[in-house]
Amino acid sequence: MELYWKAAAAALLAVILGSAVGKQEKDISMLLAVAVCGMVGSVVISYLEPVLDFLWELEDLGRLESGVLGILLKALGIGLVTHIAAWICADAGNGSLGAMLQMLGSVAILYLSIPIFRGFLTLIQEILGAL
Amino acid sequence: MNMDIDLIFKIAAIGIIVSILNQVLARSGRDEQATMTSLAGLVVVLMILAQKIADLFDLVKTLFEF
Repeated sequence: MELYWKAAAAALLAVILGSAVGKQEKDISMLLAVAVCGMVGSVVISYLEPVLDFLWELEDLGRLESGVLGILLKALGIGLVTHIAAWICADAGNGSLGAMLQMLGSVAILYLSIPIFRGFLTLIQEILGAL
Repeated sequence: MNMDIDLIFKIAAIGIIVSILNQVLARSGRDEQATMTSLAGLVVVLMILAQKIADLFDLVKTLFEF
């Protein structure tokens, strides 16, 4: 849990230093925020790793169809990255860019989900055909 | 997994140095050089950050199996 405290301290430190630097150099203050977001993001990922391993174990245990969990995890990854990037854009005063990025994330997740929707459609056709 | 806290101090230090240089150059009437100094500071920080961001994206790609 030491990383958690370090990440929280780093975020607070970045806020203080960012506000000190931001009066003169807004661009560098924004880049400082990006750097800390990246650092905290890598801490988030290090905590997520065992959780995801556990999910893979659960998939094996439940003998789920292979690929379904992978798509869900990819969607989670896209969601995380999109959310962070969109907030950074909004903080830097580019709200429209952030909104566009969120739309890109949503569409990318939809694109990734096509095999699941197709499988669902096939299942419905099989059920209807069996009747 | 270790956190590179020094990176925060490094970026803040560059920001403070660029800010001071900017003020000094602007007060002595060298506005163009002040702008160039700001731009140079921004590029230096971007060069430091670009690799870190690429590393983070690689980490995300590996973890979520892209």
